[in-house]
Amino acid sequence: MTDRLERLTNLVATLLDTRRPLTLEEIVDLVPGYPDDKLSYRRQFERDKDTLRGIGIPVRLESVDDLGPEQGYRIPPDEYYLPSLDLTPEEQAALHVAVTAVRLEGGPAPDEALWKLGGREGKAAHALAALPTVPALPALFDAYRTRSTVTFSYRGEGRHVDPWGILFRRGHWYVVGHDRDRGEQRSFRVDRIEGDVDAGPARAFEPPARLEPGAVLRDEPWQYGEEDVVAARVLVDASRASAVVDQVGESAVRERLDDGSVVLELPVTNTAAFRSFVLGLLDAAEVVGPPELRAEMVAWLEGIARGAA
Amino acid sequence: MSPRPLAGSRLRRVLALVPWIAEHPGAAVDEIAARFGVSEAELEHDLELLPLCGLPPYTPDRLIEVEIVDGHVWIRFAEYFDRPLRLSAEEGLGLLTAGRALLAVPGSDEQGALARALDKLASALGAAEGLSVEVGEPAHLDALRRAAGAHERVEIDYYSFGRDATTTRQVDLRSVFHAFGHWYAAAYCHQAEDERLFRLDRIRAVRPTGEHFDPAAGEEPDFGESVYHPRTDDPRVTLELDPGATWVVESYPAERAEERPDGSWRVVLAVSERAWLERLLLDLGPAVRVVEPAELETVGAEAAGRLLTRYRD
Repeated sequence: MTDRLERLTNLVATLLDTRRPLTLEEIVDLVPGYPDDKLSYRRQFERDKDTLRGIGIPVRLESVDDLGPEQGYRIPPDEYYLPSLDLTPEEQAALHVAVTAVRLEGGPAPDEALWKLGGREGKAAHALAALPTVPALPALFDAYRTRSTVTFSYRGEGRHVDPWGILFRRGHWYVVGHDRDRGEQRSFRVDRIEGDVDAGPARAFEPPARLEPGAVLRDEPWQYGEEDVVAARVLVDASRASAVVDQVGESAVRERLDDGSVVLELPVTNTAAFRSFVLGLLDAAEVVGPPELRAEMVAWLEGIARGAA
Repeated sequence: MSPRPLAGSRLRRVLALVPWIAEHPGAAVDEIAARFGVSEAELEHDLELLPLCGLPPYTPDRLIEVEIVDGHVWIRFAEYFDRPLRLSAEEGLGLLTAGRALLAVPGSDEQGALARALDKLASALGAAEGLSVEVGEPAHLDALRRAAGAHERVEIDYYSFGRDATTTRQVDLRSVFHAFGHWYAAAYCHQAEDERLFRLDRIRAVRPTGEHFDPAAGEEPDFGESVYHPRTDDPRVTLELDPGATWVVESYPAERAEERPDGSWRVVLAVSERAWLERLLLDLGPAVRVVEPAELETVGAEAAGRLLTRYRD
């Protein structure tokens, strides 16, 4: 009985080395370890093929020749081999430090990612940072690399997006790109994508030159909405002013008052998220305009105040 | 039937080991084992398998040759494995993310070995510009990291979000780290006389004290601590949440959470500070009710009433 790993290794070598696609019958004939019975070897091969594809080996099904209907398998060498990166030992050591200092929760084991680049060089580092990963992220990254338009569901709607870039900011992953249905640039929080990301054919678009995803992103929760933009003005007391200005940026400051408080103006397209932000500041903040937004806040608070009565 | 993951993982290692050993003839077994993070026994187990592998018709000249002499290894006749398998999207993303995150930490060498390695990696992956990682630059990051490294006791002004108040305290910094979008300092707080976790964006000032402390040996940050852990003596509150407010169940460690037939939830949460509960109740508005204890039933209404006075002047 042949060891499964031995059979898999031989299968990879054979499919890599072959110049033309090999039919299933040829494969089980050439590679030792498959059962004789047709149903059994077919099932065995299916499992092996899934294992190879599962670890990223490009097993392709192609026509054996141009004339017949017969199909066979091969691994195209140009899709299999890692291009030479020519990393110096110093650069390999720097990557080793990076993957040990920065942990990706739920991502691949840091060691295994390094295997293909020559394993661990130099010393590991102390943990310095942990970042979350999101299931949809690898598919989006792949689509960005291959310039494939992606389809996914977001806020209950199907979206068609050319992914221009991916960004991690303030604890969340975003994909920035061109929304084909709306004909506009949009950004989406990756953890809010519902279900799978489907990628179309490669080379479907070209992202703008010198794009910095960070510069494109609308990055506050109150900007994640489809409502018409309202220029909301908030008065923040001195006790919280500097912390809030750190968060929203100096450009939002409209007025600085003598008592140390500030008036901010924020472009709001999601009033519920804006309300959460202001209420999070408790007694230290007040919506000052426009009047409709102030009235909405008063109505909201009155509703809660009445609740107890 | 799903493929057995074990065979996949070992195959990945073998397909990476072979090219490396072939490129480094005579490498030492112990060095290879350390480099690939396996025991020497596991490595030898992998190496024993290889002479059985090769190409049809598996005559001796078509098999991989492995020679181990005095703890050194040679691999020959494996030209088809002379380069490793390309990186998967997940691996490429993982390496680039870790590297870019580390480069984004203030004080990193933007022209150093890591930056050069990432450039090579990104261009091989076809992902030169489109992946950015921001970890933020809180105002006192440098000063705090320096103090932690030099074991200097510092005094900080800290805004406590839960209590909505700023306090001054002396702390011995154990470690400074980033977790899920925020920087934290793990420290012994002399006011609390206990270990505490501080968020750097809430540290408003840092002052040296001129004193040093004895570092506890070899402490690594525990990222799990960075989310809120209820203490056993915190008061508990029972809330009833409308179906639209169930994100609360996912966002906070609920002690008990029970879905009811109409889609609403009943949850029990630990409340360390009143301001925290006020924010939650104000934010959720009509979608939440305090069920018990009785003394907390009016917290939301009282907070709303207090905030309304600002709007009635």
